[in-house]
Amino acid sequence: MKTNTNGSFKKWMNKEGLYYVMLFPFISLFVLFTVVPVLSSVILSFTDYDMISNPIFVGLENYARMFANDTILATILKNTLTFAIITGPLSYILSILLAWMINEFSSWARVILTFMFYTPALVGGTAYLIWQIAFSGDSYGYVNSMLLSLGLITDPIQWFKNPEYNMTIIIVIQLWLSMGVSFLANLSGLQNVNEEMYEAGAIDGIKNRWHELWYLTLPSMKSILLFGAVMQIQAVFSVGGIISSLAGYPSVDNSVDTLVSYIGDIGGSRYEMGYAAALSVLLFVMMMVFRLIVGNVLKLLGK
Amino acid sequence: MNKRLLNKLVCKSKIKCYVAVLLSIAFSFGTSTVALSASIGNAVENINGAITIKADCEISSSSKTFLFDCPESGEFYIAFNGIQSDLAYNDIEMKITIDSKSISDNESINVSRLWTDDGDIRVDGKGNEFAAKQKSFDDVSVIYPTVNGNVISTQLNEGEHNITLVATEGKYNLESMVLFPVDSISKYSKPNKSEYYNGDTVIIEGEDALYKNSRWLISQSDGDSALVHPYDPYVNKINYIGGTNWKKIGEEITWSVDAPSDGYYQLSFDYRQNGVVNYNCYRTLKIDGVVPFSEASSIAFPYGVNWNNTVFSDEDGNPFLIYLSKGNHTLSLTVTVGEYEKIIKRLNNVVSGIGNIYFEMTMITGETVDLSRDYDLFELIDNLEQNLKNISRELISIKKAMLKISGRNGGSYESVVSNMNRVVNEMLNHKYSAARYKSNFYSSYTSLSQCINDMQDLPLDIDRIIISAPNKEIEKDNVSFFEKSVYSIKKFISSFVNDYESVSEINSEKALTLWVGLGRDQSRVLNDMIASDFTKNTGIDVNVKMVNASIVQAIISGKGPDMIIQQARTEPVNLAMRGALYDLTNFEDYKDVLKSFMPGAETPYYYKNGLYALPDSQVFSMMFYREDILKKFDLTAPKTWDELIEVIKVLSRNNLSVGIPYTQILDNGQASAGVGALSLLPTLMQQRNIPLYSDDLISTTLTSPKVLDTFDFYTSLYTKLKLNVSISFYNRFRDGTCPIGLSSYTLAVTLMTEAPELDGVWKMSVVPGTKDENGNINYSSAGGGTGCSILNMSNHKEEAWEFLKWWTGAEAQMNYSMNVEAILGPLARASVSNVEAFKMMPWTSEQKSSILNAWKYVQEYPEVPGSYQVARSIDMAFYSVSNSNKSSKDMLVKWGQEADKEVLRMTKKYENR
Amino acid sequence: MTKIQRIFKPHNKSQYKRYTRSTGGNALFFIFLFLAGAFSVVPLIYCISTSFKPIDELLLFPPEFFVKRPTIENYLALPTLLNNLGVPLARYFFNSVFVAVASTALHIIAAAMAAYVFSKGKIHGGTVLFLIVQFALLYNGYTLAIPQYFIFSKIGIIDTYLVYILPAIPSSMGCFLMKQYMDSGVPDALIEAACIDGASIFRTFWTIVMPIVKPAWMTLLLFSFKDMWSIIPSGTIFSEQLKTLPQVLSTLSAGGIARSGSAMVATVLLMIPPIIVFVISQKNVIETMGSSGIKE
Repeated sequence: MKTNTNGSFKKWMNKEGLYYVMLFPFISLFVLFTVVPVLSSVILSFTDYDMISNPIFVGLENYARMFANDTILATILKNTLTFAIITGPLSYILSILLAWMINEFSSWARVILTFMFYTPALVGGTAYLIWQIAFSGDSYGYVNSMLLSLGLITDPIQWFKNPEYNMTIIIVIQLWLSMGVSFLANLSGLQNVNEEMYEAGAIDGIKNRWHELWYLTLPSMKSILLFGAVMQIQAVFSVGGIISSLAGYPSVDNSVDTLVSYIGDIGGSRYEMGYAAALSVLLFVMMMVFRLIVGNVLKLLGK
Repeated sequence: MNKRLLNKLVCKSKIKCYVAVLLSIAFSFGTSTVALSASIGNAVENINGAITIKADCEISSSSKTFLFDCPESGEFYIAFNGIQSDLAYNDIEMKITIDSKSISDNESINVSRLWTDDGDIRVDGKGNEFAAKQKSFDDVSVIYPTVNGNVISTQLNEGEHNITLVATEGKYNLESMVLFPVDSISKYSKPNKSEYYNGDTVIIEGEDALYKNSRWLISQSDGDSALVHPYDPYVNKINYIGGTNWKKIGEEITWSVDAPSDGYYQLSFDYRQNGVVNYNCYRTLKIDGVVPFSEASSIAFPYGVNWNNTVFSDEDGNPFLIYLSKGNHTLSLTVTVGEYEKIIKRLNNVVSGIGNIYFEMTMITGETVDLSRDYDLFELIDNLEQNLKNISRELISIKKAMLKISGRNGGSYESVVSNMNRVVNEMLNHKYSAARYKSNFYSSYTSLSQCINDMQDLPLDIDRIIISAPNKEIEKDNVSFFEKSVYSIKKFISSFVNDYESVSEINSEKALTLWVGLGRDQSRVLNDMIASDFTKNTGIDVNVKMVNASIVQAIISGKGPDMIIQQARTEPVNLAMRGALYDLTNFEDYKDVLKSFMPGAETPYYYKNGLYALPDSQVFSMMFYREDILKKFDLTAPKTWDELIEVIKVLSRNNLSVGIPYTQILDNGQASAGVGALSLLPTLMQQRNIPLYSDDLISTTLTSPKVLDTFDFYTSLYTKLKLNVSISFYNRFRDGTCPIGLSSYTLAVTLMTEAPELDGVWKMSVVPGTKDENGNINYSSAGGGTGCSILNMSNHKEEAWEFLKWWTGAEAQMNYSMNVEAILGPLARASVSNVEAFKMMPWTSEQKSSILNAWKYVQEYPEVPGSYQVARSIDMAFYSVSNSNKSSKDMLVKWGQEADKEVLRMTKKYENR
Repeated sequence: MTKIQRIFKPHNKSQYKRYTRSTGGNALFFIFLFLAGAFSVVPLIYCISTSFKPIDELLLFPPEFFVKRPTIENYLALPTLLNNLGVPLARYFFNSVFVAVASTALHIIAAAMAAYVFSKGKIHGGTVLFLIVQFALLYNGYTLAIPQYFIFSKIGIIDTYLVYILPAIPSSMGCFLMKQYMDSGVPDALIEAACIDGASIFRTFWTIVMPIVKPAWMTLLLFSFKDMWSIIPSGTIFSEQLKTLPQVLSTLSAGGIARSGSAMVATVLLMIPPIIVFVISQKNVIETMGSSGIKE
């Protein structure tokens, strides 16, 4: 190759070179707007940066603070993991099942059903407004007024303010909001499953639909399932905004604060971007761990 | 000599004067309008049966009495011919008594000041026009004293009487008073065709008003339509007057009209009424200060999305003709409720009855009804059945009357009334379980009250007034669809070329930049104020950018503003400790500037002996109470907390409550409002003379025994006395279930404008105080507020200081607040920090003195690095106690230590920067 | 078959046997899912219901769910409230449409091309590069805001349309989805066959692979459009004429409770374009490819 002359350059262009050209738009912008900021953020995690004066290099101090000095962090990690472990798998499995069930309907029925389940994600911010009204701490909120009239309680309960209740409610709301990206991705992934497999399967002894799902459908969707899983991990660890609007900033006793809302707090109120960056790195590591676990689980599919 | 003859002679000589002056007017066009007013005065005095009382004196705080003779008994309107004489902004408040009896039941009588354009329309460097500044109209005019916007009338018997005038606020130079009979305004009578005017059409542009009785009734610009005159798709042109500022009863705009010859003219308006969907707005027409005939007392302007034209005519389309003699006249339009007047009166009565019933119900059932109990409401409340039946009958009759006017079913006002009636009937039909309908009853009741308020908001835009020969076809500019589209397209394209931010030819070298995160209306107001006042006087341009970027982003991009205004309480110290703000003590005159605020108002903005912000707003709580309800239980307004607790006990025995609402921290914005704005604890600590921070400002006092006691007392209000943590105090105050409570003092504005039924029944006073060992009561309270600063990275610090001085000055503070309030309503009134500005704002004299009194007692705590944690700690401790019943002292110790840690950490971190 | 039966007949284009439901069972199933889905649609119904509420119902607290006496007054009042914006409303609408369409189109093309390279092209470092793209998804965005703002500022795109569009193009999720889809849906044999037939890389990509992965990029179309349609720039846009529709309409809610009806109307109207795109995209996702075109 090296000995060839111009002709091979053209050949190379038509083979490998074109790949690089096709890759270029995406990767160049990706590096500019994602990689560079991520690297800066990691570097910032070793500094003390209050966003106004210049960053001061402090080495591992932020990390030391995370592990040794931060009393709230333990609660926060506990909350984050609770959300991740409960909401994550539940909504993932739910999105697979729903996609599978809806897939078999024909055109209009399918669009309608998909639309209905996708609505909370589509409507966005106004979606959880109605939960706020239902669980309002006033004696006129839906749930409170119902319980009061039935005589089950005597004073209105501050749902979101009370550590006993707020976690459960937010988990439910999160589940309800979660039919989003992975759900639609699974739906589209089901389209391209190779139909010939099913004939082979019928011969090979597939007895019912669940067998079919587990042994045939899912394994041929592995790539999409991985996508769904990664998106789910990302979604579940990013629960932050709704918590502050519903439960307070920060919530009582930090009972429902997650790492994301904590990071926002550290950066937004305390102006300690260096520490926030260190926490982001911690969050990243946690998500990576989950990603690896999920990757391995998916390999088991169909066995 | 006979008084009548005297009057006639006076009139005749006046006419001679009038002619002479008119001639001189012809040679000096455009100047003073003394002659004009002489003819106006004439019109009122010439009414059949009018009694003119000459005064020629100044009405002020010393009372003046006049004698007059009433030839025939009847009901009379009162009109003043005169001119305001001092330079204040507030309307004149006065008391009028006839034969030692007040004619207005002790409500204060208002005499509006008049305003007019000071010079021409202002134009900015790009050609955009905006309204001229307003100045006092310093000429004689006819004014009607009003109560709540309504003209007053009084019964007089035949014979001699005396009338006494005294002004409790302001001064007025009265030339004469005219009392004329109410029934002198006769119905319209069609004139002879021969007397019709048949010359050219005269057009008066709406924005060229002669004077108006509210400072905020300025001319406006509509750039979105090709139907308005004048219009331009590329720049904003002033083309109409009115808008949302012209909607309250009694607000009046007066134009000057030049009639070419004697005759009967037809009157039509180019207008837009798109404020009240599917209902009419009404105006009263006056010519030379007098309503010409009874049909003119309410002209209807129907709803329409776009600009339209209406001819003043009757239901069959026959125009009402107005007689004008040749020469100058005035034409006024006053906001009125027109045909709805009686209905509103009746509704007010019904609502007050409903309110009383609701109140009685709450005393029996408490706030929430227990569904499993029978309350026997009809037994326990006197005459409940009869009252409800009457109310229902009245509601049905009101609805019928409303239908007659609006002519259609299903309008929102009618449906509110039907709804109330339905609930009342449900209660009547289910006597034993009537209590279950309490919440429906309440929501219908609040809707109905709100509806009555809405019916009295009648906005209108006037583009042009056209007087012409009767029945002549006015050449309508029929703007074709094509032209409209072309206009829209031009406007769209110009949006790619126009620069919407800068107000003038800004040379960015010397110009200041200001970032505001406000809404569009507030930014507009600010822009106008800066252009017309600040830039004009100092020559410094200011580039106002509407952006919601943070200071951090500003600093990173290097393109930040020079100064920031309206920063949350904790921000100046937060930014100063990081070196982002400029120390204002570097300016020599800073101490003088501080004098215009209450002493100590700038305390939160000091950091290490430097001053980093000037306060531009200061808010604090006062106690509001309902005298009528307290009287029912023989209670008086408490002066101390112990007395308040006694009041709470009595009220809660009757299922009523006290409102000390708690502000929950839901986002960063609230967290940075500072500890004083969020809870009562700092106030209580102030009253016990406990500082919040140690002397060296590196730790809090939250864990000290005195504070623990205070906190214990504070939380016991909620845990032991069962006060509600989160309530809507305004609503509860209005219906009486919370007859006492604490709230920011600006609640008074809301009560004044939106709860007029409570006038005279509620009062405000300073918060309850704490008695010390010597028996003296300490009424201190903690406040909240915002500040304005200069950024260190600014290259124009001197100019920025000029801006800050202007911004916190009395004129700017008052202008901004009142302008924004005119657009957004009473809730938008700002709690200004400049004491002079406060005094200039339209409070009643009683409110003014109450608020100033309470303001004196406000003490501010300093801000330190890490103070957000203090607010948070208090919040956390509070919720732990109120939710989970943990020990208050334990919780405060726990969270107080967190706060201490944080404050220490942050202080040490920034010590050496 | 009647129309109803056709709607509920299970969709099975393949000629092979599959365990599918009976038509009746399918109908029951549909009802069950519909009821479950109704729970999800609650906020949308609430929004629509509120937008028709007359003012007395808007003032109720707690708000009633269904409107009792619907009126279109809020809709009629909306143009009034949007008067006098300075910048004409058409411009804001244009901005939103332009930004959404441009960034969606550019993003899909860039992400699809990159995904194709990752999936089928064998280049040095391709696996590593793709892992980086994938992992970038997992990094929390809050701390990235400051460095990104700095970069925007340095390359000078602040206060231009580019600050909306450029950062939207390299979105990891899009590339990830496309690549996974291509991995599972496009067999290597197909690519080789095309290569043998003399198609260039780009032609293979455009004419063969893209139609196969249509469900993926249709889904991507939906997400991207929805996100870009409702974008509200924070601190990156200063000029009035570059702001988007959601930002302007959000100022309506500043008018207090009396305006909440019209604010809800604005919300409902803003939701319509994403819903239209949703329907289009979902209808296109359904077209299956039947056999993959290769006989094994």
